Amino acid sequence: MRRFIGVVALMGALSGCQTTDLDPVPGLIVEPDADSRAALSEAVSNALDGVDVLLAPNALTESSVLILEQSHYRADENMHRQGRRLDQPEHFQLLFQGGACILVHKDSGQHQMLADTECKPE
Amino acid sequence: MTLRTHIPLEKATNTSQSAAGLCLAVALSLSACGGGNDGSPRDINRSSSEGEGWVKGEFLPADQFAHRCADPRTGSNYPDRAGSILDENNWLRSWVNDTYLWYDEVLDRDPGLYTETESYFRLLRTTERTESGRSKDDFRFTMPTHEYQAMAQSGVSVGYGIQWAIHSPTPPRDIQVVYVEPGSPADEAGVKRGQKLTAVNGLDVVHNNNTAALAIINAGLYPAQAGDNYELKFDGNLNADLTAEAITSSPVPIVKTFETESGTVGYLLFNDHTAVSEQALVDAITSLEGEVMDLILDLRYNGGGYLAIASQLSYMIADTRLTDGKVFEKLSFNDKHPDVNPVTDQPIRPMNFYSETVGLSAPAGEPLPSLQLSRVYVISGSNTCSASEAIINGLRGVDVDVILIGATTCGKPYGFYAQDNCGTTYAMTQFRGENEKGFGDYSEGFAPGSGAPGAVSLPGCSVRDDLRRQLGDPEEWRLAAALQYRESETCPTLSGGSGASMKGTVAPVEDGYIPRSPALQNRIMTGD
Repeated sequence: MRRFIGVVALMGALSGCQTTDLDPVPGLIVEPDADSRAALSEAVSNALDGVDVLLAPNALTESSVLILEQSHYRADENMHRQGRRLDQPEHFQLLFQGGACILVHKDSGQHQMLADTECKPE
Repeated sequence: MTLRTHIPLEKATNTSQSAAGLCLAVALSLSACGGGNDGSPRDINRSSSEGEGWVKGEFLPADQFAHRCADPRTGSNYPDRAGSILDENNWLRSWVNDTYLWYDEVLDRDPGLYTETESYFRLLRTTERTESGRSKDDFRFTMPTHEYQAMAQSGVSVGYGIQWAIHSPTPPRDIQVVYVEPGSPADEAGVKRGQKLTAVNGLDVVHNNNTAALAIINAGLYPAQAGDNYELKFDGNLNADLTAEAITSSPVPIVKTFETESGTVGYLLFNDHTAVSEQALVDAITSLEGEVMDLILDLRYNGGGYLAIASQLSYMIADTRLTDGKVFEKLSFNDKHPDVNPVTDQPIRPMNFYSETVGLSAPAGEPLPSLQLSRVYVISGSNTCSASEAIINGLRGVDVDVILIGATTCGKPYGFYAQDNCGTTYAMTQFRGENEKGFGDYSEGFAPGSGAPGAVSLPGCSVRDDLRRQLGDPEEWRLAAALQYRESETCPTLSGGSGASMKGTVAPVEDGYIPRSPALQNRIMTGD
């Protein structure tokens, strides 16, 4: 089952000129379960070209911001890892809009609506 | 121009490279292989599809061989195209020659002789040793690119919430708990700092030398995925039935103060330079700002991470009159690239002490708090590494006094940009970090007191890790030593602590190896 419904385009057009229930606001996931966790993982991986991702079970339940960084560092000889990182982490934000949960990848601007997920304003 | 080749005889037996063999048989010159008459460096490390012609000491640009793969990946995400092992070896050879920090200490080897690229890569390195006798290049690895690119929520890894110290990976093995994440499965099962592991799923950890058993023990030490379940037995007769899960580790788990006769002293345990540590450190320093006249920064288990975090923390510790506009760390590449970063193609600009957040986890552009100190007490160990050492070096570069308590740091002033080619990610030392004064020569680490060969000696005390006490306990040996040194500039002789010593009077103390990544597997070995 496809866990996310699809890319949400033209989010700004939904908001109009005045604040309404459809205005996107930072959101939190409510009572995550296996389905919602799977939907979130799939959406995050999809935004990152399909890489494997590891998320905490309570991801996006306490903060609307989700930060990911490369997880696997090792050396095959003495096991020292990269200790001077110059790369950038990946940032996502969860938006709540009209009852929907929308995950935004900040670097690309990609929006995805999360299936099987209940949200509330942060 | 005639350049002698060094193609061994067996090359001529490889039908795909028969042209080269024929050239070798006829005349050992480039001109005989169709190049070199005009002085151009042709026929050097050609693709196998173009023939053979390795010439020692001559290198074509790595880009010419990049992504030409013996087994190219398919899909639009990959730049791979059909090639050969020789192409992949040629890419490694040219890439190493261009960007390896010690490229001029690498023995140039015929790329056509090696049928396994990772084996060839392992040979393209310096064989020099440091003053203490250890390998000069201890810092390279390869891994499948899809594994290297895997990502995790910042601060999250699969495990039980135990951080191990492996004092002896071979029989009799000595594996000890150094840290337990609060609220983790290990914490809830009663596992404590200092406990020694004796068995995994009933298999003796200390003496077992059976390969199959060790595979189970390693898997039990470092569970690969959430849901993995093992029974771990510890000394003190604790049996812990542990199920791995995605653990969220706090990078700054302890922030506290101690009231002393000479004023309030802050203590900050900083375990990992993750992205989320940016906000955690801002919060921690804010809570201490204006309250403390000294800081004890505990980096004993901090192996590094984002350099921008190290810069920010250093700024937040030091007197801003010392750090304003000053270099925290400048990257120095090999002498082929004095001005331009060979990986990013950008001019090399030093990283100054950041006075604002950079947006790793805190909002970007927020002014940082500062303790305004001219000295700092750093608790260190052999796992204090890289970006953690950059804090020490960066502060020393602007004349902040760094007093070291514990053991010699790991000695890694180096870094790299990992590079994918044909599905394998390669990493090797490409730059060295230097401070405001241009100093970056601490490959033997920073040592408290004197006595560690080659290490940079700092004032302080050589003191063992006190695994009987919790971190942050003022009776814990290293923290106690820091507090005492602050009062009297003397080091304690601690009862019950073999190896705990007055500064610089005995051999350096060791902490054991502490793996930090869930990818670190097979960390214990047979005694063979």
